Amino acid sequence: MALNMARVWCRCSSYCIKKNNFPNVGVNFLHLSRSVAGYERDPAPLFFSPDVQRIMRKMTKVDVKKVFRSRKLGEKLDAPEYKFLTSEELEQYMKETEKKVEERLQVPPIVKEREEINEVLSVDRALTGYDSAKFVFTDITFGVPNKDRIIVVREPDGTLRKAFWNERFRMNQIYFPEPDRQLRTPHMFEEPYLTNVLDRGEYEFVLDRACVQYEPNDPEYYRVTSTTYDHIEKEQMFDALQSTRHFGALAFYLCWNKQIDNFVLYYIQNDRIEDAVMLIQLFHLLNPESKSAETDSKDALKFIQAYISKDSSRKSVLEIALQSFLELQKQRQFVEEGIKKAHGM
Amino acid sequence: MWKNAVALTQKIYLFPRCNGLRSISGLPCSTSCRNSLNNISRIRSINIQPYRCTSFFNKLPADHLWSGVTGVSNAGKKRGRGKGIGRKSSKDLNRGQVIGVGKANIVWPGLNAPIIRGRELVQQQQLPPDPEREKKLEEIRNKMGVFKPLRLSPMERGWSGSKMPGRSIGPPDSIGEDNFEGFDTKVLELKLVVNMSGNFGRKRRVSSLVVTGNGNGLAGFAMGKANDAKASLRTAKNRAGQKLVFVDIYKNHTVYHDFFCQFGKTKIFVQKKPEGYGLHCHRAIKTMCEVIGIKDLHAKIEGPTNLGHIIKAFFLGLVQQKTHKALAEEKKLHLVEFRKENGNYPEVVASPTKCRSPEEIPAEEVLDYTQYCMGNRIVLKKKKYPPFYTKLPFWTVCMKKKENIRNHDKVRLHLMSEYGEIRSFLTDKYPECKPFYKSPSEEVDAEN
Amino acid sequence: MPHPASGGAQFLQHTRKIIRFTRKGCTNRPFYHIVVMESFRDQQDPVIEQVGTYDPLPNQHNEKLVSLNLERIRHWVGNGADVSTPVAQLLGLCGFFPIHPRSYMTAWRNRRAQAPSENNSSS
Repeated sequence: MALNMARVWCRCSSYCIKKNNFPNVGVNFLHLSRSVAGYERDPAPLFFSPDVQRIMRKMTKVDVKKVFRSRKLGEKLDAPEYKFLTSEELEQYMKETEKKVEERLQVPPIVKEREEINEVLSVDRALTGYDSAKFVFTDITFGVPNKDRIIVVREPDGTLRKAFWNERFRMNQIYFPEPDRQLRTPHMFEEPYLTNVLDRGEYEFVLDRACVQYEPNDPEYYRVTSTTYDHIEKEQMFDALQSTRHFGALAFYLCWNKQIDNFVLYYIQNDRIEDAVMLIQLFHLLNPESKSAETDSKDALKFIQAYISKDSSRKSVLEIALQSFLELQKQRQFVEEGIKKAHGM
Repeated sequence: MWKNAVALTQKIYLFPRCNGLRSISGLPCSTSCRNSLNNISRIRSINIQPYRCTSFFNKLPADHLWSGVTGVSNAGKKRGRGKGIGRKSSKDLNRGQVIGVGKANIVWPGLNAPIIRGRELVQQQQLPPDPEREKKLEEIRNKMGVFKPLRLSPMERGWSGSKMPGRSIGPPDSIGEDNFEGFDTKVLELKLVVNMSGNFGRKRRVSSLVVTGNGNGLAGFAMGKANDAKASLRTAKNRAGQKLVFVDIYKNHTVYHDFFCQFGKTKIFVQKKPEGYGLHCHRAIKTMCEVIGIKDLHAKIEGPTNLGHIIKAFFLGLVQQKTHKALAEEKKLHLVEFRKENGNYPEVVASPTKCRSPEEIPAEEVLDYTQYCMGNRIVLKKKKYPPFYTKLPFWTVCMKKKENIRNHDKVRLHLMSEYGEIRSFLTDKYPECKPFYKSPSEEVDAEN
Repeated sequence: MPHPASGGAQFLQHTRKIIRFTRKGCTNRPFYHIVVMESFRDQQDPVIEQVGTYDPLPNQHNEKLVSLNLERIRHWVGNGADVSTPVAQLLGLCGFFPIHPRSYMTAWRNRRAQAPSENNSSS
């Protein structure tokens, strides 16, 4: 399928705009009181908090070449356009590009899953037998957003109730179709096809399409994304999402579920101590009750050490990795000094 | 006699040497005949009818007979009738025939069998008829007279049929140690030219135009003349190998920028195109691009399409292209590339050593890249009008009819992906709700 | 020529308007538009405005889909437009109008038609 990626990042912009006046979003998603599978606490307030957003953005690491890499848009290619620009104009274009990068790297919102709708409006038994089929009524008044649309169902037994989520999804898609969103769930999101796609390492494709197909509070969205994140964690393919909008969400998910050990290990093994520190900072932000959350060390290694000793479940492995990293550092320093001496500096 | 074999005259073969038989007292013409006559003379009451065995069919050779059937009269030929039909339909019926072997499967010792086999004298005897023989003959005859087109694989074929233009004739001949590895030569023109000279009168020669290249930017073209086509092509090819020029190819698939080029009155507007576009241009330009190594390009020729002029104009244009760096230096401005598939990311492809400030740019200067590269020339793009038939009544009728089925293909595709067959959700309940449905009773009828 | 799905008719001030079905679809496949038009007009004439759709054939999930532009329906009803019985029944079922008496009648008749067959099958 040729997925219009350009639309993908537009799609969730409605949520992202609201991150500044976040209580509004809360009204939409926080009316849920029951704890739903996936997120026991509500992740939305933490997700939209500026600190978390900042760390996620920083961790994403912009590689402009990757953000603007060639994408298969499913359209005919055009010959490239050329322009003669002065240095000032070029700078202007570059500034606009930076803005575009920010837009493209907006992390898809992570919110609590929605609750089932079970609201009966009226029961009229005298209507029993009026018809053998249900009647689904959709209000198509102009300018009403999908989530506020009135959709009701008259059951054959005379009950008038609000439509369930799946019915709402179908009616919204029938009368107000979203481009590239399918009425039936694409087979890609079903097993065994999902595992197949993930085994091929098409993480970004799965996550992008999930953004198109589902609302962020859909349990299915949670299922697909969490399966993908787990797969990435298992395969240690963290770099696959680097410089994409999903990297922050991946880090958020892993921190939220307290399974960042592999991630930290990966960073230590690749000499990326700063990234590891940021990850642990995010972990502390999302889990203020964790034991290492109080560590206030300025030294990166001590900071990581504190996490390993207090909160990690794979202490031994991480300790060894850290030790070998330190030794490597020492050796490097030794060699460098030797070189300096040899050069007579 | 055997040579004259024609399907109609087969009967005559059964009495091969009886041509001269006139009467019982007549002179026998062969020993076998004589023997049989001796046998006959023993029988008293026999009435022998004089029999003339000669006819139209055994007096003329087969060629004449065939031309009588399939040929065209002299008068007809003058009018140009029957060109090339003679060869096609005449069949040599002697093919596959062996002396002594016929319809009746008879062993003739000394003719189709040895006289003595081992220690025994082989007797003349009739064997059961051989059905294979007839079949084989039929097969051989069916093969004859069928038009066989020239075998030329589609890859080798030129612009048209088995004609030379457009065809590949291999790399130029190596000179000493230098051989043209990876080169290929394609013919662009092969024609007969004549020259009137005082001594010889009309002197015919063959002129050829070829282009050679290594598919990687190195290419050359040349003309060759000789008395025959082969020699002319060879001279042209080898001369082309001596006149190579280098053409810069952008990202190994297209030209650097749109350009305009002209030779004489032949004008060519060349446009740069994205990967996968292909060569949309005059066939000569296409052939040249193929040997040069250009894969995507659009070209429009205005004016005469004389091959020599096209070649010269196009090569001139290619050679006069400017690289991005040169353009940036010329303009003293940054040259920035925007690609739709890359989200219109401004990629600086070339920067000048010193960039001009906006104040230094005069108001009337052409800043449009394409316009600048084309030398202020603009391709005439005619407005496309809807075809005349869209105004006819049948068109509305047709569109109305099509409206009902306008989405059927998409639905069919969707159903195939969903269920693996074309069906409705009602098919479970009503099995007839399916294309090409047959009720059980109908199926039973069909089986019977 | 087919008329546009919605609107296009001349609007006269003092004629009687009605909210009614117009049959679209094709042979054996009915589909209705809920439209506002002058009551004396033919069904296939241009309409003043389309305010909804009704698909009388149940879909895969045994649902009959009705869409209603309630804002516009409210406007037209407020301006004195009549509502045809079938449309009024739908509006009743969706809770916008009171239930139409004919709906009760149909339900009752359906139940009555079903009752003896059930008795027969049980006995």
